[in-house]
Amino acid sequence: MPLTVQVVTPEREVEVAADASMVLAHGVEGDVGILPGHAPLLIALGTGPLEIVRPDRRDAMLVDGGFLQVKDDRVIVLAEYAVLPGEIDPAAAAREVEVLRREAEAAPGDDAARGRLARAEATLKLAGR
Amino acid sequence: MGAKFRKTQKRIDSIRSTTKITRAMELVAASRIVKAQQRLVRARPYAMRIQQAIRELAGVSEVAAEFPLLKPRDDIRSSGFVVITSDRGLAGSYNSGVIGVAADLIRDARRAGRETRLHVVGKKGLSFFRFRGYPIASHVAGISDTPRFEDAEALGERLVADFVSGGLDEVRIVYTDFQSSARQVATATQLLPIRRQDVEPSPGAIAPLYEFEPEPAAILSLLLPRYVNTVVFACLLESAASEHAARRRAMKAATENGEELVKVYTRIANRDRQAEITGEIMEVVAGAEALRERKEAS
Repeated sequence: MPLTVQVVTPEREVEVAADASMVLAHGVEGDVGILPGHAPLLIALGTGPLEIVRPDRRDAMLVDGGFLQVKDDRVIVLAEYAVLPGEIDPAAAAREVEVLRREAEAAPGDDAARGRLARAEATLKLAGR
Repeated sequence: MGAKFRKTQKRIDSIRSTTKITRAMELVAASRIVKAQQRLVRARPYAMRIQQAIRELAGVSEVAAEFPLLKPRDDIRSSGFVVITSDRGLAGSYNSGVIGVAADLIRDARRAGRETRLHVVGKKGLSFFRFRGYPIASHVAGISDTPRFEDAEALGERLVADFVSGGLDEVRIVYTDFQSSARQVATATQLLPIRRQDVEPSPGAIAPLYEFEPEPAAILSLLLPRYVNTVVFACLLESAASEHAARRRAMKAATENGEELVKVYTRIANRDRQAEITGEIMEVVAGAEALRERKEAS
């Protein structure tokens, strides 16, 4: 039985798939892979790509923060922020990384700035695939 | 033409152009209600799922009751209030409704000897409370029209931090509930501590045996502040939809009043013009009569 995948952010529902064979996510305590028949799971996600493997293709998106829940072959990702590769402008993303890197260097103790930089870097990496 | 008639005519022109503006505002507001409603609907799944995850976790985690965000305080010394108003007026009783509810709550809290702190969203609320000398802890403008999640996050995080540090013992949020495009109600609800009935496991429901990573308590401590943010976001979205609905209704009434006035003044203008013509005819007739009488006398 394939996996049903739902990615929900506070402002929209990004992706819904009913035929996934595997989901790869970046949890705070390491990467996880979910196959059909997985035991109920609730984990916190870090900043990184979320991959949905389907019979005919493989979709990736960037997810920053949030939770992943698995129950009865339903995978629900609650992300605060999610962006699809098609929505990324690589040039703009590269510029953003530059700006944020300078900001983060200027304020070494600022966790929020580091978080923004990590998100921008991951976005750029996703665009480059 | 006489001065009186011209004055009325000018007045009609001015009312007509105002009516055009109010009509345009009515149409703009109407299209915004639809968009605001869509945003409201789109935000629901996330909020619902977060809440559900908390319910399931609260069932397995014995420590749930110990979380500061869930724990009501016995001695409430300072109350925080979030008041969501609009930046622009011309929205009927929209702002006065919310401000009225908030002002009542604040008065009650003060009577109970509590310190009150206000977090105001929207220029209208800010100018009201600032003018009356209420202590304002924070204010933000420019977001009430189309609120983004980041706005809710910023506000939510600040409130959670104040609550956890003990600066605030409870927080209430005053917003306008969008029940339908014909009915919006100024409402106050408790934001912090999170109400138990909102996150308690539903009776009889058996939570699946989850594997957790990190452990349940750590996940719950991540989930709870996010839940607060979604509640703030929902209130902002409800208020935005209500604001547009209130403005549409107010502008519709204004347009109708304007049209009614144009009718009344047109009647007055016609009467004045008629009176002037009658007056002139009378003068001509009287003049002719006088001439004739003089001729006959001579």
